[in-house]
Amino acid sequence: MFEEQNGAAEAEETLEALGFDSLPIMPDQVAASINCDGFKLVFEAKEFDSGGILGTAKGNNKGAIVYVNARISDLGRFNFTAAHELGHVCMHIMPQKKTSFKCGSKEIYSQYDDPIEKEANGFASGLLMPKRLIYNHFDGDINWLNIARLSELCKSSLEATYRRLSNLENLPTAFIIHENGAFRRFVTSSSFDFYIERTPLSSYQQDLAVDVKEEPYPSDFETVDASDWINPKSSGICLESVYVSTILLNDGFSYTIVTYDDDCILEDGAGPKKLDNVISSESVPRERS
Amino acid sequence: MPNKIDQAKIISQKIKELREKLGWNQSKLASEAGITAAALSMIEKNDGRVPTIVVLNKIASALKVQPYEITGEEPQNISESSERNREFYRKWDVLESLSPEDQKMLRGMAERLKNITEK
Repeated sequence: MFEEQNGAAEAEETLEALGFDSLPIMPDQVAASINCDGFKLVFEAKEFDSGGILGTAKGNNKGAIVYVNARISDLGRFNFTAAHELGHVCMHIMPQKKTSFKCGSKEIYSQYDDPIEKEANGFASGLLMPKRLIYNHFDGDINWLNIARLSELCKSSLEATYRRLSNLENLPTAFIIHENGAFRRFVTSSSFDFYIERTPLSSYQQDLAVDVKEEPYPSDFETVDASDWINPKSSGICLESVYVSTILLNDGFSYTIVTYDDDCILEDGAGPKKLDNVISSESVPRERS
Repeated sequence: MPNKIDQAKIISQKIKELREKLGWNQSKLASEAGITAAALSMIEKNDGRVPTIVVLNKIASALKVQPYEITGEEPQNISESSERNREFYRKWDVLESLSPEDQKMLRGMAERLKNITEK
């Protein structure tokens, strides 16, 4: 968490000093702006022979070369990879902490433990979605409508946008990915205290998904049994319900946001316990009509 | 190694000093460096924050100095021989990409050269 914040702060400060003040922030333009007589930076898209490598960065305190895999077809993912490699340039290569990086999806997309990769991910997140610029377009509610709108504005992926907003807002949220109904992976915000069930989507859960190829992205949530999505017991608290919102994307992928607040706690006669970091009453998701 | 606040102060003074030596005002340096005038003004006012390394590099480039001349940090003392060693290892690294025959030949040459030097 600390490394990610550190990375995001470095990116935001750099962007501001370089005079980037409108969205989207395009990594190739940032690279051109970092380039100067004292530090030559080459930034190119290139088709890699090895499909596993998404981006590389190599250099020293005089200059660096960044290659991003041209085969990444999704613009949001391409940009995030590019911004991640620029993070390595600005935070690790320039100060010569480490001078060569080859990054695959493990380094870039999983909650990977290497602090250097976390810093680069934080940098990428802050670079594509600087706090100073996104709050003109974001009301603080983490829902699909807001995520999709910001992702479009910032040319970032839905997942990267969710991660950024969940880090900034510090609400208890989880983002769960299924492919053709089968569980794939999840990310959670640091204040999400419950264990995610790694189960396939039930037909009921699939029915709740909004197909965003045909319908607008939803801003509201369904209230469902907590045990449908998580192990409802954690740290002496038991959740009766959670709020969920699922969207169905191309290629059979579905993304779900799960969140909860005080009203979700199962009362045991002693009255509801208060949760830390719960969503405020203004941002309590509405049920879908 | 000075702490962050001292370092920020050194940087701020040094930039101002070098800029004035060139007879430039802040907006001239900001535009030469490709950073905003607001950012340069903050740095020179010394708000206690150390500029990011990208910004330092850009300012140093515009002032035609090395970044360490602004940060006041000792230049990294890389002796000529250690630089040669680094260069050697950078090339040695490439060995892996050579054919086994070439690798063997190179190793043999290195071995023979070493023997000559020792004699």
